Amino acid sequence: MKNLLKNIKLLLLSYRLRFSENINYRASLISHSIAMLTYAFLRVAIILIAGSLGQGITGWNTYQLILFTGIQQVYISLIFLLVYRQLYILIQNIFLGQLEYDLTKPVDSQLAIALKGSNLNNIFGVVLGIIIIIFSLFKLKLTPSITNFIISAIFLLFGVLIIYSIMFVCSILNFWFDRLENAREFGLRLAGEVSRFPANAYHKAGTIMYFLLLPFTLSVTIPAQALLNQFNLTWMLGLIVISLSLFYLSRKFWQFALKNYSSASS
Amino acid sequence: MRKFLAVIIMSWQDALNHRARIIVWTSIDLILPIVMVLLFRVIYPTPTSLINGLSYSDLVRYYLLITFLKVLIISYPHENVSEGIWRGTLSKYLVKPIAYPLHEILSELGWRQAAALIFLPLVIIISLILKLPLISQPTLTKFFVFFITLFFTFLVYWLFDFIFGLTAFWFTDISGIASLKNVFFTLLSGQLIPPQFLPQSLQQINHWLPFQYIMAFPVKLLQGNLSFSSISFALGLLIFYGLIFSIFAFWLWKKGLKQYSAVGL
Repeated sequence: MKNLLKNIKLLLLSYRLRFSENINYRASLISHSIAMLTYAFLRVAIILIAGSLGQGITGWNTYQLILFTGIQQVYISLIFLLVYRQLYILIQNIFLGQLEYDLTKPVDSQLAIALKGSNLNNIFGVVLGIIIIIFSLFKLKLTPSITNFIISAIFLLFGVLIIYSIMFVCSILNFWFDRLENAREFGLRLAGEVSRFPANAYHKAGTIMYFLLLPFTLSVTIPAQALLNQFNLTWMLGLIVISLSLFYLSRKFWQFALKNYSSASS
Repeated sequence: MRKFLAVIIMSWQDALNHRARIIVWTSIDLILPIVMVLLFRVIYPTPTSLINGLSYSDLVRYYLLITFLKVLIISYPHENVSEGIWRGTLSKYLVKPIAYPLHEILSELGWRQAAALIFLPLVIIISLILKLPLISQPTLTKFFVFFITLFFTFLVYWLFDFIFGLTAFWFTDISGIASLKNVFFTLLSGQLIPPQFLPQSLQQINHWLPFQYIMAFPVKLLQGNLSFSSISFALGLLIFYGLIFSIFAFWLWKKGLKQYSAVGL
């Protein structure tokens, strides 16, 4: 427990440091914010167009779909904020044979990597998502309780853990394959595209495909439903089990991969 | 001519050397169309019903062809240009006996060809499994017009993206501007949804912009029988935008080079 608290403190300290670093590059912050704004616009536009065609997306009205998009905006921004950059640094370090700087630190090696790579430029994306959520809740005349917000946030973090684990495993492949930095992109795009639409949008996908896509879409569907006061306990339990199992497996794969690592000078 | 060929061959070698990288990129390109095809399965009341003139099988074929065209046409020269300007690595290309834009376009051409060659068998296999012919009523003229269109679409998109890269001479970090471009292109070109599914007002504006002619038009060309007037209008528009983009890119390049400086190289 003491160790866990120490690690959390370290992580928070690294975020603070990274934030002061990001604030130094204000032009980049503005540029990232424009990017976030445009992608948020695209997300809302696509889900509204899809919802207006044919039978639409059953079980979701327009403002519920906008609420869903707001949650997806927060979800993707959190991935960029907490995961994306650290894995970029990890891949670079594997290429350059500089991973030993992280491996020799007096903290867990996975944590040492996480300490390096948050990108707080993406905080605007989270804020933007929250604005979209508040707007849609206002239009839906809904006031979720604090518990609903907490449940929503917790399941959003479980969703991020799923993507972190997948992207981490993809990045680790760079131990064996040269110039495979885009493998990390695969995990990100999988999460980004599949989570665009609620889980019931895929119910005609066929059993295997449906269950393959489910963890990604549930990462957004469950938090959105929590704010709408709808709970599906089976899905919730499923998301917890999948995220924890994937995290465990990614950790084991990391430990296995480290045995294959050799730096330029070692 | 020999130096141009050398650049293309080098790019081919590089692409084939890193086959795994190309396979991952093409797998990434497949994610969005798969998601959209699955979504439309729910949106279509029955597989035979029509939405805006497209049946469900038309739509599957559309996404398959769009994905292939994306691999073949869509390049991101802005990434190399902006990084070159930002890190100063552009300098090494300025002293080479081939103009930098030409070097970039040729190496991109080589890379795209190699990627398409790897991706093509997959597209053919999928179309055979789904029993969806990719080209309806294939004729020699259709292929000829298709390849001419491909040349212009590649060129127009490359120039369009290159212009965004050149803004790095003044802004250095262009990620925001580049994503703005990506968002509008993705929406208007028909990559996400066919252009006829867009709201009417957006369709009217889109009619005069080059985006849908870069992606959706070549697909329409293969899928249906377009009239001579619509083909000439699309090609005319692509040539027009190609000329405008070339002049603008040339002007920006000249202006930007005067602005450019690199240290410590």
